[in-house]
Amino acid sequence: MAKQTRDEEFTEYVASRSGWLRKVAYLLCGDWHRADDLVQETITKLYVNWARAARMENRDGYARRVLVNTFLAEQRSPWWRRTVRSEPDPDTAAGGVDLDASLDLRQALAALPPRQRATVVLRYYCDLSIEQAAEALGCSSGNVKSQSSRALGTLRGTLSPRPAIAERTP
Amino acid sequence: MTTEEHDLTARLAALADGPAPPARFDAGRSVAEGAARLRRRRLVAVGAVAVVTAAVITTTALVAPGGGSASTPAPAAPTATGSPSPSASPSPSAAPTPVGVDPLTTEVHFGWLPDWAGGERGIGYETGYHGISAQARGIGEDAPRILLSQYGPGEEPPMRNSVGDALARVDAEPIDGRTAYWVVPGRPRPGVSPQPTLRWLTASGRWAEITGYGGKAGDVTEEILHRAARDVRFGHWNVPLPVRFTGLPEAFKATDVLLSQPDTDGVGAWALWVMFQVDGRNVSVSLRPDGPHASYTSTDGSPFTDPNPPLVAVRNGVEVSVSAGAGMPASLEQLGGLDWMLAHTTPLGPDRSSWTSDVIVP
Repeated sequence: MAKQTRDEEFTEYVASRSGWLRKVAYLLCGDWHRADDLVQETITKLYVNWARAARMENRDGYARRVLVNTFLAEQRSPWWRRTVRSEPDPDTAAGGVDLDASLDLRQALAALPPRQRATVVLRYYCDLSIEQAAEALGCSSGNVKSQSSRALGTLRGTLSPRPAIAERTP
Repeated sequence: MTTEEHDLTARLAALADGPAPPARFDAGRSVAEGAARLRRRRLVAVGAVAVVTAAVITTTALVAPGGGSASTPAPAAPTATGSPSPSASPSPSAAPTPVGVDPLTTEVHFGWLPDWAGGERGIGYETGYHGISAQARGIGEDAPRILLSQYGPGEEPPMRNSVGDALARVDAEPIDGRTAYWVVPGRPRPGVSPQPTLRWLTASGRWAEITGYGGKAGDVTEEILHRAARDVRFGHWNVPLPVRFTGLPEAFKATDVLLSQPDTDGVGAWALWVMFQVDGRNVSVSLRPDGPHASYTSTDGSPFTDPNPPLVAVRNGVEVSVSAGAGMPASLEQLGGLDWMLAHTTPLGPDRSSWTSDVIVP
């Protein structure tokens, strides 16, 4: 693959998928700036392995796998563990969404161990099957099931019940 | 999907669709950085040719202790906890003629480990996406762990972490008279606890790295990592596995293998996961000792429903699970699908004495 063609193809792919990757990264790490770092590193790895990625039928799945692995690698081997950020991201504090609900979920996700958080994001945001999530996480389907079960149990205990819209609207 | 799960999906979507600052990444930066990494990789590859050639010759004399037969024990005799025993080391020996291929080889082996590791039965090995590594692990979900790996020939360990933050080195006590250093954050962050990581130069000129986390205070300390590092062995060992695959077409490539001891749930004695790449798709085979397992239910108590359920069977006291996820490779489909794959997968039993390094045989 000529470099120019490769670069054009890669740039086009990133332009079409970066928004989606960024949202997944944000749900994984809970911070937009860190999400940007994760996406930057992910697409750099994609570029390095573009010859392989370009041959793949499920290129999005490959990109998602690289992203999740980059996130998990950061958690397990970057030589330190991060503490949970509980304060709201200042850049998001001015939005018009239901901030209480968003902060509630962000904090609940942040309290999960990284693999459980990744499992929740893959299963319930990316809508992956257990086997697909297992492939993305590089683990067994049984492990995904157990991680999901634990994560849901924890979320059930930490997330406040979502009030009906009528109750939330004055 | 239950109502509760639907609600979680809706909440996740709402959170991800919420307001966000402008993105700070760009494809051009990745092209520049990626091209530089490719250039470095090529240079390393060229420089490593002579080393690799020598290593290939040497490897024939550095196979697994006892490797090659169905009676192969664990990759090394149990590692003594508390004090290392010379007889417990994996001693490279003359290679018996292998009849099969072992998809899980390791080039690093622990010697001394703290008591919580529980000896050889608490050491897992992994090869694939994350490279080759060994992991000593205690029992339980938040058990202490020590991870050991080695960088490639000519490869310099990065002084930035995976998200680009600078790292710094602090001199450590030399290991075997060679340079060693601790890796610390270049710029300490509030609310961030350092995790001890030690790198050292090995006799072959390659860098090794050991790090650890989890457990309770005192389980993984700099002193423990340094002592463990001093007793690490390097070579080439085939890790005996509890399975044999027969008659697989050459196109079936085992790309990722993970032997967890204990299993990753911290419940069972071990678990093995092998992923094959076939026609650009993945086929995974999982094994674990048969026995009572946690039952997985959804939040409303109903069983998990998998739209692409694996094919599961129990043989020789081992539960085997074969899956192709949503995308069955055409060549496997033609052979007979998951049934065919299962028929060509022979679990060897939960007893480690029956495991083999002749894993993939013609």
